[in-house]
Amino acid sequence: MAKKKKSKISGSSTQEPPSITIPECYRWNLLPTARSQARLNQLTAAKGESLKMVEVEITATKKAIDESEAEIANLEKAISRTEYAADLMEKCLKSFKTAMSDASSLDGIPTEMIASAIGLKGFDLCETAALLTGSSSSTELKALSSMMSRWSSNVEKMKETRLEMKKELLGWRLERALHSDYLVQLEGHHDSLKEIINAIHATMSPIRKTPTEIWIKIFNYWIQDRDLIASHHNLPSPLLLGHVCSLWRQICLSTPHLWRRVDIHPFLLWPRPLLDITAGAKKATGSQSLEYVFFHQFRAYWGVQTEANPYQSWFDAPSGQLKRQDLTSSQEQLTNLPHLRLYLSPSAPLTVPTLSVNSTKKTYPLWEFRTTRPRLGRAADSVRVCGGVGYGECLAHKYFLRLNAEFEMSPFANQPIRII
Amino acid sequence: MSITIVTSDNEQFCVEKLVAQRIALIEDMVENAGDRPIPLPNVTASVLRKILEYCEHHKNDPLPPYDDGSRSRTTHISEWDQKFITVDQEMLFEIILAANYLEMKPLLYVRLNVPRVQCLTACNAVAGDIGCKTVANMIKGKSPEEIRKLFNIVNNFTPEEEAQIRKEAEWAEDR
Repeated sequence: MAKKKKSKISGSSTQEPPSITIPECYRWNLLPTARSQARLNQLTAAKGESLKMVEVEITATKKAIDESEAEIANLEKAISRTEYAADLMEKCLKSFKTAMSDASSLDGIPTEMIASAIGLKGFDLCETAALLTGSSSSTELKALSSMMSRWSSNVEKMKETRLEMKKELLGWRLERALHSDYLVQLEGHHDSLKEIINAIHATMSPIRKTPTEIWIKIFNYWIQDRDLIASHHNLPSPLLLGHVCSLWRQICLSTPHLWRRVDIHPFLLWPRPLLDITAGAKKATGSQSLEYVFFHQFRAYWGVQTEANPYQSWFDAPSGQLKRQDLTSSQEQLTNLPHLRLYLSPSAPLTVPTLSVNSTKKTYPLWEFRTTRPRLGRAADSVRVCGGVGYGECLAHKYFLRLNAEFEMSPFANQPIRII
Repeated sequence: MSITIVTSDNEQFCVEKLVAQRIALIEDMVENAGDRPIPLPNVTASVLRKILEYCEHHKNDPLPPYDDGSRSRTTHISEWDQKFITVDQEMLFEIILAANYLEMKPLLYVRLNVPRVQCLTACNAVAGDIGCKTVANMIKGKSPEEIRKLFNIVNNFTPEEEAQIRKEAEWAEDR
């Protein structure tokens, strides 16, 4: 079943259009008047112009957002690099300061070495060492100290610049936020313009030009070959179409030949409105041959309920009256059917369908029934059809038993046909 | 000899006179028009192109049997036709309407008694038919609400109709 549905979807030939909302007040499924059409066309043209402008604006805004984002990204990188550099330079400065203060303790060492070695044999060696010992007043260290003061002022300047960049970043972020908000508004505006254009387009779509005779042709195809397995089989066939809109309902109810095939379910109790419609169809078709389809497998919802609980909720047992006023006996309405089609379950056991006539206590194979037409004497007779894979027409998974004119229903004129 | 047809959007098509004459609507105009192009104010170029494409493909098909409504209808569509009709919803209905407007009906060509052209024009009628089948297939298995959504149809029942529908639908719940 699921597989079938899937293949149906992939096989569908036309794409579904985007959902369009036509305003509530326009409860009309035909074309607007010529004058309205002219005005609506003007409106579409005007909105189309606005749409183009909005599209230009959207492109410009998106570009502005991209630009500010590039600026923001660049500034953020520069700030973090500056921070890192300033941090490193500060660390270096600290190290230099430590080095300077450590170097100052070198200052006394050569004098002390020479003084301690005067007159001793190792004097020259001590002097060499003393000469090699550095001092805080050396040119290198002096240069270092000037570099340190330059670095330290640079670090300060860097911090200022970083602050400046952060302020700049705030500005860009503000711009980006403004552009983004504007973009949201523009896109909303764009959508509402599109909605107007689409709604106007929908009210002037060729569907609304479609004349009744074409709808009837379409409905005919739908009725002849509709999907019996679809979930909507509870409605007698053309009625489902009559639930779409007023025009379709009028077409369905005023076209008798759409009702040539009526889906009926083998139950004694029917909802009154449904039975009325079936009876109406029978009347409307007049001399045209009605084709009834009995469902064997797909049991209508009401039928299941009636079957499950036939006497407690539907009948008042003592008086024998029907309690539910909306259910009515189908006995009179569903008799004397000129054409009968039986719809049998494809999963039914592979047996030859048989018809049995209760009163004669005999079972006829279908073909025999078709050819010999047993005489049915009494009014109490009922027909029994045992399931089986169909005989006759075979459409995909649907099997039909065609009984047609050869199956004369007149002997049952006053009795319901029960299919068990 | 060919006839020039001008579509509603001012595009000119050169069509074999024999073909053009078989379109009932044009047939009457050809006599009076002389060499002047024949306007088709209700058909756009894109739709006419589709219809002529259909004619071309199906020109050698045998004439379909006269449709008295008794032959069993089926919504089966051949592969080429399926591809041909795979268009957006608007074009689908435009094709159906154009085929209807141009009065391409096989019956007419039975009257004309020109076998080869019968085929051409009969095919046009079928182009509209395939459209109808496609629409029927689109509706298949859908609930009224889904159908409304599919075609942007407004629910415009009168309160009386609403009441009736409620009554009918009460018994038709999906289970």
